[in-house]
Amino acid sequence: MIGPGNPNPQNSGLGIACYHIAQNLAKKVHLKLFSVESAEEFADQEMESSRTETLNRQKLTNKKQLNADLVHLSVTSELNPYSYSSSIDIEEHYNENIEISVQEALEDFSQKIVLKSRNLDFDVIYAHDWTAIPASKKLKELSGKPFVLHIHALDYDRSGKKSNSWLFDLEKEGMQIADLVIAVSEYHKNIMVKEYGIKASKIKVIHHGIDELQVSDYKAPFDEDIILFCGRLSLQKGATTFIEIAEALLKKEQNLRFVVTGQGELIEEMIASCNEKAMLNKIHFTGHLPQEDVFAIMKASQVMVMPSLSEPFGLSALEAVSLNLPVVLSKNCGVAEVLKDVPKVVQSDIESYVIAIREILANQKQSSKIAKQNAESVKKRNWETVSDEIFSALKQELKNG
Amino acid sequence: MDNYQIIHFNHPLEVKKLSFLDIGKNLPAVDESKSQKTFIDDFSDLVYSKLKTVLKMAEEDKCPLVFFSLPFLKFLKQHDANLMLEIKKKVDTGKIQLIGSCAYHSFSYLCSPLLFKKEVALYLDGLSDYFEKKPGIFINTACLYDDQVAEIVNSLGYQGIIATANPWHLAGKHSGQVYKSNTAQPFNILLSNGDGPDNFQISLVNGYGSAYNSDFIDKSVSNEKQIQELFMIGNPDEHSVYAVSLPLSSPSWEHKIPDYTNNPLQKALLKQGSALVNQYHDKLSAEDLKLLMLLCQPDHLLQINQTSKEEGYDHFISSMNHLTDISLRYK
Repeated sequence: MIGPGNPNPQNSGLGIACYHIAQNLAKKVHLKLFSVESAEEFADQEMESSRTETLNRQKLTNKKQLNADLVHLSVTSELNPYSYSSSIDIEEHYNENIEISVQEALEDFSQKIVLKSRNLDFDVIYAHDWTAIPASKKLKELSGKPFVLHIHALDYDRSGKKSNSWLFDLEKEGMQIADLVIAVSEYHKNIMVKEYGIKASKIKVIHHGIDELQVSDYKAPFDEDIILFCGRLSLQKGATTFIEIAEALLKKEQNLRFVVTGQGELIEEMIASCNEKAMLNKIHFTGHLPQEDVFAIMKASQVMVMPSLSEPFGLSALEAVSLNLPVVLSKNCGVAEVLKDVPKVVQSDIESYVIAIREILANQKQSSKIAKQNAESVKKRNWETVSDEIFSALKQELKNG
Repeated sequence: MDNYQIIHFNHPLEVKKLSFLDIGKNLPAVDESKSQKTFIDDFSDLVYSKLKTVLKMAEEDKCPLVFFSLPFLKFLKQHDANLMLEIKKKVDTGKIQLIGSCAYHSFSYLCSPLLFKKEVALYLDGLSDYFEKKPGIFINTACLYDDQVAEIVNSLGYQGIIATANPWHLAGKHSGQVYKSNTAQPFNILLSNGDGPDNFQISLVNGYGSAYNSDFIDKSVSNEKQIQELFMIGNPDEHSVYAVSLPLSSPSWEHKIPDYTNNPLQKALLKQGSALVNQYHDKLSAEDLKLLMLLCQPDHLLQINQTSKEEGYDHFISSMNHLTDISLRYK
């Protein structure tokens, strides 16, 4: 398996998913994990330490570059994250340098995986997202073994549109040469087919799952209802849309507080915007928090909003729902496929979010009932179930190959 | 040669990080023990010899001009009570001339004039725990000056204020000269050296814990004439007006004022702090006022801007959490 070993502030959902998948798959197969991040903690657990190989840790993680959630890797001058920045030229220059540096680091990382795999007896190459594609491609060429590519997010999601970046091309090539592509939702499968031209027949949808969550002890000190945004502060996650929603809501309801958990490249713009709108007494930025603290805030909140521009799945919505928290989703969220009776809104339609949130707040009894039903439902699908499905898919590929 | 030098002794207080989940728990905000440890660590190498120099100058009747911040005095008294007594003797006998400033050597004025006024008043009150004498002349942190600063300082009973003689702003005005403030009640301003050459020099020196560029105490400087006397030169009505509508700071300070204010996060913090002070100023406890002042310490504001972005965000988020924590106490 080639992918992140542990969740961290940069890889968020991808890291969490890979962590659980690796944990569960390792119970069924001999799993060798090649990771760019530290996997020491992971290795210290019940699995054999030899199963985990951390490559290029210093070089890559320090530059925080090989990171599937990182938007600016794929941006060009006209792209959104910096279109409202006064320093477009500087960012452009910076990105060009980063791009070259990332390509070099990726090449280095891939070569090391290939080198380390020389004496490795393996049956299937199971890779996650773009960082794993060059190495997987080479390994497939050398070994002729089946290549399964699990896609958690694409350049299309991160940039909000089809781009002409090298990353887009890399992802397209990866999906084309993969024997099987695992998508995390039907929504994402459609993007792969429509935007990347991948055959629908080689894409299998396996939704994420959820295990029991560890939650910190916390009681919110506020009298007001809490509306939560949880995710990387990026264009993809609709972070700035959340500010617009907050502004519009505050015009109608004053008894609210807004909490933004997570960090990301838009934090400065978001804070400046809240400052200009005189909303900073109503909106709180928590920065990066441990998962158990984020879950505690979910438990203390009344509504979570996921206004993502394109959300392949949206694991945090599943986590929120499992904690009985009502959610409002943009229509571009894969997680909507596994949640019933959850409001889904056109991504840019601020007024619709406002109405959906106000309805939840006005009918808390009913909302709570739906949330509990959803919680019961989502708890049935845990990471073991997900990993079993992945395992079956891998076995099938092995049989086919 | 300098005609006068004002030596600054401060010790910044460390504000504890506050997580969002800790808001409302009334946790202590100031890391007194860490700040004290830093003081003790620095004392023998960075503080002791400077204070001895000041004492020696006092013994030689050179009447050094000194600002001591309240945290500095507190830690000095705790760590070396004898040295503190020696300093007290010299201050009380007029051998060391006290210069007044903000209690925590902060930029509270950049946040809120109201907060600034409280910090200046706090300093005067707090000083009486250590000395029998009070300062007559005021110098703001980084020599920050505008008309409103003068108005506030005047209202608190000071005889005069030091401002900066930046020639580009002064149009012919010079350091060492006395001017009238552009305020309702005329108030004397003495100009320290600015960013141009002048024969008369009032240099601003970092004794310890301040951000003036120079930490060289010139032992040859003798302030034989009490600085207050400079303010008495001539008929006050004859002084020309020195009007400053926006805060000017000394070029001797390590950073320019925009470094503390212009980053969006700094702007947001200062604006939110100001809103809090304006809303609750009559109700705010001494501890909460202190915390607000500490959030305006130069080092603290700079941390939001000058460290790595991630660290800057962390400082900002923690600072904002402190503001929320304060505001919840007065709901």
